Amino acid sequence: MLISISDFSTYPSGRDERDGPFNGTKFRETVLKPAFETARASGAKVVVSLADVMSFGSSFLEEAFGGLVRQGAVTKREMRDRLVVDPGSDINLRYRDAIMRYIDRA
Amino acid sequence: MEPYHFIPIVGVLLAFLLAWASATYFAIRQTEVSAINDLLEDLSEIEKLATAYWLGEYETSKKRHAAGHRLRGKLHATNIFLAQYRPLIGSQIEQYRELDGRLFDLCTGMGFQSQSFKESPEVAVSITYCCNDFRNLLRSIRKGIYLAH
Repeated sequence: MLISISDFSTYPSGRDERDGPFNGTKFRETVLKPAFETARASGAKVVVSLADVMSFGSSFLEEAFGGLVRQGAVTKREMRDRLVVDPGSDINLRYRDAIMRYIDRA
Repeated sequence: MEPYHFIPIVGVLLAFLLAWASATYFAIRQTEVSAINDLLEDLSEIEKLATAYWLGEYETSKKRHAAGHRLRGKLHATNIFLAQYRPLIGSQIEQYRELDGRLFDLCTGMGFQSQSFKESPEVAVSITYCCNDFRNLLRSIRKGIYLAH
């Protein structure tokens, strides 16, 4: 199952709806969480592509990925097993590393 | 023609090749040094924007939000350098990535671009420390440019 964050927004920002329409909570609840539920049922991986996004704030990434673990929807172990973050290019390696850090710290 | 008549011609050719090779070598090294100098300038700008943001120096939330966007844009500098000049960073790549990640977390973490933002002198000071560590690393890479080739 492939998710392109750029389909959600090319400039995602903030933690919740008070911070704007393309925030981390909205991405988690409307895109990421349903994708994990579907993938879990079929045993598939969840591939998240970071390509074509201008930049991320760590508050967005932490809320989306760290938040999913914090709220108990997905365990850290399942995240490591099922989640594949495709940076798209070397420019996005920083964000892939950050996502993994936020999952570990959640 | 006697063989020794070629000696001056060969000498001139060798001198030309040597001059060309050394000019090319120093031009490449100079380009790398300039790229590091540019990044050092960008780092100072990131530090200035980020510390102003986290010290709450903007009078209105509109100005703070604008500063947040500028900071996000400027943070791209360390990222693009990593993508473009990875061989130059060489064996210090892990340290570079660790500092880049730390700077990213500090600048854009917690309540960044959020209604829950609270100014934090602690974050501002941590950003300056991180930028100092980053500058030290870049100076060390710059120092090694002429020695490593």
